[in-house]
Amino acid sequence: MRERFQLPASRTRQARDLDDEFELHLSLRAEALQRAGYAPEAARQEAERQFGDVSRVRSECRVIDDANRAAGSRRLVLEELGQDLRLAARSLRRDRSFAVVTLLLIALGIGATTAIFSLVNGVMLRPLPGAHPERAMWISVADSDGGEGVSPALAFAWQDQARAFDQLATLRATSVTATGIGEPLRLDGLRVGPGFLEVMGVHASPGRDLVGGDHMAGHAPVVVLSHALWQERFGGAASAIGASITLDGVAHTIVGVLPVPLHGVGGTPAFLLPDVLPDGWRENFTPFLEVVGRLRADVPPARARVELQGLLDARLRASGRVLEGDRVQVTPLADHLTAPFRARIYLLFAAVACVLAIAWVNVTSLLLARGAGRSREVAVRTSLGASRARLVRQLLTEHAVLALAGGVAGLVMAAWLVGALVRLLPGDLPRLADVSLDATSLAFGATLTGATVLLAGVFPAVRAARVEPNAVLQDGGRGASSGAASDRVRRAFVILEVALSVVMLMAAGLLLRSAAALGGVAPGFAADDVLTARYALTSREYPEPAQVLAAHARIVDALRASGRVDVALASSIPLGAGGGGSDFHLVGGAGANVEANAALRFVSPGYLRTMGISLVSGRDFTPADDAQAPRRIIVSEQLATLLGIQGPAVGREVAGTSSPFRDAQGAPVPWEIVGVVREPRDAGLRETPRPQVFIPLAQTPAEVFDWSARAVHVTLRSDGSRAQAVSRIRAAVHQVNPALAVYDVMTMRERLGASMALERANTILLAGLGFAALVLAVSGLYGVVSHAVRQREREFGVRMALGADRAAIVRLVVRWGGLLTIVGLLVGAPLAMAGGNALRSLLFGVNAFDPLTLLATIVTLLVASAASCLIPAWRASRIPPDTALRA
Amino acid sequence: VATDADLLRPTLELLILKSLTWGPRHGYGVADWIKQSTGGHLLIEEGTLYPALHRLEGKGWVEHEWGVSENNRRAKFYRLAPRGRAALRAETTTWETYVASVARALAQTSPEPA
Repeated sequence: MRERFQLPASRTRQARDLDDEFELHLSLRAEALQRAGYAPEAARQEAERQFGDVSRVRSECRVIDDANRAAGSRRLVLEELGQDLRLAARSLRRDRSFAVVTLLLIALGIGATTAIFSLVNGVMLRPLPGAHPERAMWISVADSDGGEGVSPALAFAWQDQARAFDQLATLRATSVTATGIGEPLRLDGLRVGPGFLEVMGVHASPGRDLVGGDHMAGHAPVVVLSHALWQERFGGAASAIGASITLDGVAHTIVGVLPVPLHGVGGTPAFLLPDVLPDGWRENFTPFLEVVGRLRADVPPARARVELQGLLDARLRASGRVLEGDRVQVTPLADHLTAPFRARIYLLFAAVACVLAIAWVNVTSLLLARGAGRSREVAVRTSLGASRARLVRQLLTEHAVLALAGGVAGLVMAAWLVGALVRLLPGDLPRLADVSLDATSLAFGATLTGATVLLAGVFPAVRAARVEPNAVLQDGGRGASSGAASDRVRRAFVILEVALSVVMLMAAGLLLRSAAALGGVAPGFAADDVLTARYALTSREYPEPAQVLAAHARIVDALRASGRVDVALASSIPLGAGGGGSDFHLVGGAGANVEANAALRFVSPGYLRTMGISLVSGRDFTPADDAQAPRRIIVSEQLATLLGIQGPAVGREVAGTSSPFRDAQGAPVPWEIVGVVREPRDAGLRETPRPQVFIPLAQTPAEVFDWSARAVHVTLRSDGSRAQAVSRIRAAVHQVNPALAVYDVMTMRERLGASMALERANTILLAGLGFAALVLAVSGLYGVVSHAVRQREREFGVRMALGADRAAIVRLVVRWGGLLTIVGLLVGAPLAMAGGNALRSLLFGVNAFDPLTLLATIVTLLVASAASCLIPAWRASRIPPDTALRA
Repeated sequence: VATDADLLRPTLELLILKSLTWGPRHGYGVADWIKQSTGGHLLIEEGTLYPALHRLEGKGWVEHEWGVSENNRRAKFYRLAPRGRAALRAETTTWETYVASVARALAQTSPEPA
């Protein structure tokens, strides 16, 4: 009946069967022929003739038999698999709570890890668009002051002489106001030198790239738009190519559209304008350009760096300048893009990998316990003739079913988590919008599912199948012998889980402490009630500084007229764009020898009051500090200290050493200090603020007027709502000039939030993962302790019978579980220290070895584990003393 | 004409199934039944029966069992499997339809269908 499932017959056996079959046929035919009158010899011959070619028939049959057997064994495998699957389903249904818990653990681990992986892959691993993105390099020169930038002189030298690159191109950020297509729109884009798109490996489509001629002085103005801008303003119409767009009052012909967003070159530019670098700039050493380059194939970045550094040094020597330790950096564009957030994202991945490891350990532990609990079933099946391999396969099938179901649930969960992650993380994280549960992430999730079977499934299956039937069956089914070994493994697992969660909780704790410390930092400006927005006055419409100042004054007046408000203008505000710096020294006495660098803030009267920057001494600017008044300046406390001012600073004079602060003869011009302020944290709460100086907007030196006094921030403090304040600013600006774009509208509170958004999201996620680790570790401990209590029921019964009171039993169990926790803590504490140290760059106001955080971590784990031991301990104390007798 | 094995194969398989409807037979028994009942027109080379038998086994229409023959030799007895019995019914109907259609066509006396 089950002949099909015979073991494969050997070749000789097969040959014998066929020979027997044919020989029988020939002999029976020969006998029949003899009965019909043939002589024996002739009968045999006639029988063979009627049969035909025996050897051909034999080989034909052999081929068919081989095929049949192959099909048969395939069927056998499928049939056994089906059998195993049915068994698995039945046994999992029987033990539903176990199945659900295991499945959830796997789903949680795989879901969270896959979701974070999607993030890592989407914003960091996925290559940038374009051809050979790995050859696109960001090239910068770090000078000793921490500035970064490349001078035109150097850019020319590199372009002429560097051999490591196929193409080098300059770029610089620029902002323009687009008019004539709906509401005036402020756009951030790039002025790029020739060859920029070749470096990026991207070509305009539709339309054409910028070509050499576009970069010639006097060429008709052209622009390449980003895909997003083309969609938004032109509805993606092909007719946009060749159409005109007015940028800063000048009509530009649209020649092309970028097919993909350009990341990694300072924001995501909305447009590209051809940059014109006049030949006269060959001797310009002001580092205001950025440079990107396309490496020649097979040239490593390090070699390119050496070449560029050599050219830089030679250029500086040739121009008679001192070498100031300027260091060239050649960074792949992708690394340049991800540098600001790489550490945080990888930290997140490490943390979720930790949670996955704990989940796996928990699952393995659960499967081991279940295996030990089934030793009787296994023993029975072994005695009935099931081979060990067969048993392992059947148990493994069961584990694989669980892992697969968990994996599928995990991917569903990941799909949801990815959405939540994208919402939680700050929107300005590059490429965040592209993060999704894509094919790569699904493959990653599938790999994790496979790994779950291998890591968590195989060992318990092998373990459970290793059963001595006699020992188990005689032992009344308690499976003592096989259980002991896997109990040891499970205890080791609990220690591992506790250790890992110490690391996680410590990390989460340190980040939470950092967040708390940051929350306690006074920003040095009024975060609430202050709304800020920008507008810019072009030199085309307002050629003279006096015209600019008059327009600013009209806008401020219009705002003042709109109600009870504080309003002021500033070239640069805390956490906002803009601003340069200069060295300053005291005028008179020995002070001239001490120089200190300060950030420049050109502000209108009343700015300090509006922004809530506190005056330490002196006064704010007034309308009297105008262009005709003596030059006046307000310095920050730090600068006063750095300059070595003894006694009151107000009334002293300082002078700037950079060219804008010198007169026509090159002599420094004195500025009288009228006030001293405590500097606001203008680069975020984490950063110690730079020394700052405040200068009346009306007294902005001519050389820096265009980049400081034209695009200004309006700061407005009013008693109305945010929306009211926004419409007030728009109305006032448009009343003066309806073609001005009002942009970068944010309250100071929002700016603070944005500056810490990634950090905040990171801390929330890490705290969540730390909590998950704690819950998993504690539930793992609970599982092991309650299993141990079940195993030792008889012992507890005996103890009770011998007079132990309930409290003693509870103490016994809790102490046993506590011991595991303490060993885990001892293993985990050094790891947590190391982990905290790795986090150091992300911490604020808290030591990486913060004893308080470590203590809190330890106490949390001790309390949680004691709580998780109490339930089984209580159960142990309720075991009736006669259990021992009944067993 | 009758040597065209491909053309004959379905017919041969049908006859093998039919021969087993009265109980298990070894290969010779099947061959002999076919020879007798077709008047020796079909199975010119008796050996061609065996590949057909083994193929039917692969399809699961026929099963085998080893036993002893009437002349006391080790003999492989073939038996109709349940699926083979069902196949025989279906194939017989197909065959009868086929034969009837061909016969009707050959019986035509005018170019236009009657």
